[in-house]
Amino acid sequence: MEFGLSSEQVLLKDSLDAYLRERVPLDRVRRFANKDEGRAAEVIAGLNEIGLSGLIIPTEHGGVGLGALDACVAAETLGYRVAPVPFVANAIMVPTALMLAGSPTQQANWLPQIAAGKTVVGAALAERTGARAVAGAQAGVMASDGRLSGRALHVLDFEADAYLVGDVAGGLHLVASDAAGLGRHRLETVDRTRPIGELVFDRVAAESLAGADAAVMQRVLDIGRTMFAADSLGAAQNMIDQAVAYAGQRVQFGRVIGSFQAVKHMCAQMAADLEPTRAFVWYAGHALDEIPVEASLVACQLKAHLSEVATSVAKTATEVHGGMGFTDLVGLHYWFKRIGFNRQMLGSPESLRGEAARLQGLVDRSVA
Amino acid sequence: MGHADSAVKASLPLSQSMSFSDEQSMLLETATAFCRDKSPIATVRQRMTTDAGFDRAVWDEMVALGWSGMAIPERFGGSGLTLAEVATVTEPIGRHLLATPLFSTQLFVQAVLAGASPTQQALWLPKIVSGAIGTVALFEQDGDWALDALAASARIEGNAAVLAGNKILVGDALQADCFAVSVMLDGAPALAIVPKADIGAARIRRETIIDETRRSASLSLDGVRVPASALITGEAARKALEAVRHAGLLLVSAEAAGGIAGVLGVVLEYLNLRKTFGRKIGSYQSLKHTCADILIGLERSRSHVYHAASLMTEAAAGSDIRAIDIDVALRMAKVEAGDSFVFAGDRAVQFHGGFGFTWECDAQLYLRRALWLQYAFGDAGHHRRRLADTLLSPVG
Amino acid sequence: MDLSYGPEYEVFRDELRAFIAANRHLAPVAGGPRDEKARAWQRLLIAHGYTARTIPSEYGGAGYPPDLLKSRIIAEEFASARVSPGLGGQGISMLVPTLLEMGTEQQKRDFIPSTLSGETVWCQGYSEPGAGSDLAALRTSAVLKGDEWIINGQKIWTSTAHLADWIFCLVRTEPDAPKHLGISFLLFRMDTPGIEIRPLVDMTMNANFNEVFFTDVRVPAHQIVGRRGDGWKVANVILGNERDSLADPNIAQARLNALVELMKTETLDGHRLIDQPIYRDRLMRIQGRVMAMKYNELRVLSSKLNQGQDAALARMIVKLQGTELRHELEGLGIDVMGERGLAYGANPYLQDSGAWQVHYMFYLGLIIGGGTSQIQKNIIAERGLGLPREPKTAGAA
Repeated sequence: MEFGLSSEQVLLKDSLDAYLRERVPLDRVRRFANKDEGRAAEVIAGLNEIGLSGLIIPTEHGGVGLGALDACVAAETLGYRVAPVPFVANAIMVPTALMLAGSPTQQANWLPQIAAGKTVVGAALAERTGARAVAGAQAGVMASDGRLSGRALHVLDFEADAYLVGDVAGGLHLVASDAAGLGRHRLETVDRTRPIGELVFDRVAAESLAGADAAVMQRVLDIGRTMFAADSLGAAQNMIDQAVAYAGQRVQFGRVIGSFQAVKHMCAQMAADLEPTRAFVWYAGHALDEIPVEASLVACQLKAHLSEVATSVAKTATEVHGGMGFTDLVGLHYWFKRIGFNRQMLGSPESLRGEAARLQGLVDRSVA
Repeated sequence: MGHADSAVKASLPLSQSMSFSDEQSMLLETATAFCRDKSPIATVRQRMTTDAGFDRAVWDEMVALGWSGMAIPERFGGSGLTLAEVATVTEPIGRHLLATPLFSTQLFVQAVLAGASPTQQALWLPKIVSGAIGTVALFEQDGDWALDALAASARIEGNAAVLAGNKILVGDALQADCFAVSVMLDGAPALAIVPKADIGAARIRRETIIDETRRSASLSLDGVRVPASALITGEAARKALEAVRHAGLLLVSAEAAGGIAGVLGVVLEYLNLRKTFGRKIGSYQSLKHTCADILIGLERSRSHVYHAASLMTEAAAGSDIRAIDIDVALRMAKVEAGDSFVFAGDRAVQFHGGFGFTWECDAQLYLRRALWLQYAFGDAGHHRRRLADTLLSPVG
Repeated sequence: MDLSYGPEYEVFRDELRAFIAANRHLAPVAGGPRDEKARAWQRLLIAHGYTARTIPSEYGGAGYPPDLLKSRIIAEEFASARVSPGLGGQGISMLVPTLLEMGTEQQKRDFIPSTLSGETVWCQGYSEPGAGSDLAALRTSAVLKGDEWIINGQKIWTSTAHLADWIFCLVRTEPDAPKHLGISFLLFRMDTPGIEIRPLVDMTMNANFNEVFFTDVRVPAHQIVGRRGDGWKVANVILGNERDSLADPNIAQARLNALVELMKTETLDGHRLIDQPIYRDRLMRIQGRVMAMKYNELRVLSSKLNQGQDAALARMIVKLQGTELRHELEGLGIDVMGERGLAYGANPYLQDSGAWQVHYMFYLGLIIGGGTSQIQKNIIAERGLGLPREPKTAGAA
């Protein structure tokens, strides 16, 4: 019995982190965020050489053929370095949908392109976890005769060549970014490391995934949620590391501030709160790979819990930094905002806990 | 004063008086000295071991001071004051863990004042002023905090009513001289105001509860006969139950606020005394900062309690105060005081280290009281639900 | 003693309401002290005693005796009418009260009238990169040469430096004295040669603050408030005032009202957020704390009105509680909006111009600024509860 990362997984983490530490320091993130690059081309290319976009794509389609737990390790590392690259949709949710619901032809057409980094595919699935209303109408996409109409908000990995789109009936479709009738609008958010946007469909021709059903959709959401949770784990861990480092060198009142019990305990509390979530992330990855019957519940609870912990770490770590934590110069806010972004995507803590209760049949529908 | 915060459904007027009246100031001073004198911690522990749980001589002194008749109109021999004054003496009572049937008696008084007929009032209120102990029997195994889901019942037989069912959590029942018992009569809540004799000691069984400074009992009502004239029914019964609920919320919150001050005092004393690693433990920031947190909870609780008490006083004086605003203020006070006292008691045990977990440490006396008060008349989650229903649009 | 507003005050309130109704078209909607409309409004308000009310008229104020209830009525009525209550800023709110208490007659005449009128705009030079929580450790130095101070050093978190005419600045003038006794309080012009201002972008991605660098800045020797070495005392008068202003419960109430409205309009799958039990519970928790803050303010007010009524502890908790509460309240607004709550910058679905996100972040800054929550708790514990002070370590000043 062994509950931990394999040496290959540790190696994946280390090599990914080494690349990011070297080639994507904070200044590079800052440039991406401030200059509206859309895609950090050289970063994406560099990561593709490690195989990031094809991480879970089968080797016969040019991918690395790894599993969900490996994807968690990668996601955590990307969060740790606030890497400005498409991942959750492009490398994880979309390939999952294709592998479960796409025809062999569709898989052969799309997966190698994604694995090679030639095509980036975003995901318009926010309405599957709860549709928001804008301009007086609820968002949602309707499919009819192979054409899509409606609106999808909060599309992940938005700077893409194509999109996976979920419709109100649970169907899944692929559309090209330049398809006729498709309007694309970037939506600025606090997290400038991962562009999102809105898609407006006016009878846009789309390629359906014939095998799409509720189980496939659930799986896609489960793995997406797990990725966001892992990303927050990484981001929160970095904030703790920075806070501890700062507390160890900042002097006030004639002593290092880390020698004040209040500061010590703030750091200790953050660490104590975050550490168990590491095992939780591993278990979620493992469940996706090996214990499918548990995967949905674990994904819901994981993301709900990790979102709350990470939000608390984000606040506390900023406070440990005092005024400097508030500045753009130190740049702690990139991690703060990454965590804030992860919290809201694919289900808030409250809605995820509600879903967890429903999954276990704990909700009495007669009083719902 | 008065802000028109129209976006929130219930406009919440800030009370005209947030500070104490001179009357209340004097009462607080007297009560604080009285409680400090009569209820040192050793005495608290000793009283816990007795059957009655309280000192009859101390009760007689309270009666002589006019406390039990404080909120009873002068025409019945009382002082003609309000629950705000009762809350004022309740805070130091809570602070010093003074065991007393005062709380139970005040609930009985409020039921009678709000719903009883002039005859019933003339019968009972002077007795209270003279020192009779009253209590209320409202709670049931499967009941709820709205107090109107009753299984206990009454059936009219000629000039009498025959009661049936069981009551739990009846405060000071074994020592009480008179009871206000809630029962269902013809499909609606009613109250029976009855002397001990009509119930009899055999029907009263002491309960074991977590706060050993208090006494609580269950009541078996099957076959109890009371005169029909002892009943309060209809709208009067509804008013009486509401008055008891309000009094309960206010006085429990005041007692809890006092308790926070009391346990904070215990903590501060220990923190200024005990040394570890060569210095007083109160100099360690984690303990200091938690004391500041406890203090903040205390001040928040006091703010809410004084505000609620002020509203009730103004309403009693004839000012145009809406019932909904009193309801909101009382619930907010209970939420805050209930949770803050539990937090303080819990921390107090922790800060005494291993000793904190023992019977000998005083912190646990406060924690037990906090746990008890947390659920009295509804816990925080219950009240927040009701507050949301009151203050926001109804769900749908 | 109770705070019921007697008939005299109701007359005062009625008069004020009439004034506001008749004159509100003259009030500035935006625009700072440079705006002529704002200055004219300030003149009008002072003439009627609705701002600078208790400042003696020889210094440009309205010259009324202090009356807390009237001050309160003024604040209430302008807030509820959503009309500008006059010019604000650190000069008016912090420096003027300090000069009244500690300035010379000449300083009062030189500075107070032009500050009240808006002609002189001030900024505050306090914190330094190495002197945040430990402000007394500041190192910007002032050396007396002839009849001038020569100033070298750096300040940070100076919010209106780029807009200000003058600065009130803490400098070290007695390098050999103990830390707290070596500081002086100087006043000087921001266009003095040798001053460089650099905007400080914060996590809201706006430059709400600045760094200010001093290189051989020459300041007339007489521009000192209090004596040499007394600057810490002078500074502490202001710090008390600053803390009170960082957490206005009336603004918290206004934000709470906005939050309720938001919850009524935001939907998820067509269901209003205000109907969801978990969000209702969170809202009720926050409302309880907003109410407590308002009542707390009344107790503080009452203690100022009534002798022998102690609210020292109530005052200490205002900044701590108020800033944490606002951060949490704004955070609930973001959660209510979900993904839409992340909108920032040029986003067509930005709600309330992004106020929720801006305040959520800005109030985290305020939890830290003006004395961190941890420093506040130390003060509460030591001065409020009598717990032992921090032990001195070797080398600590």
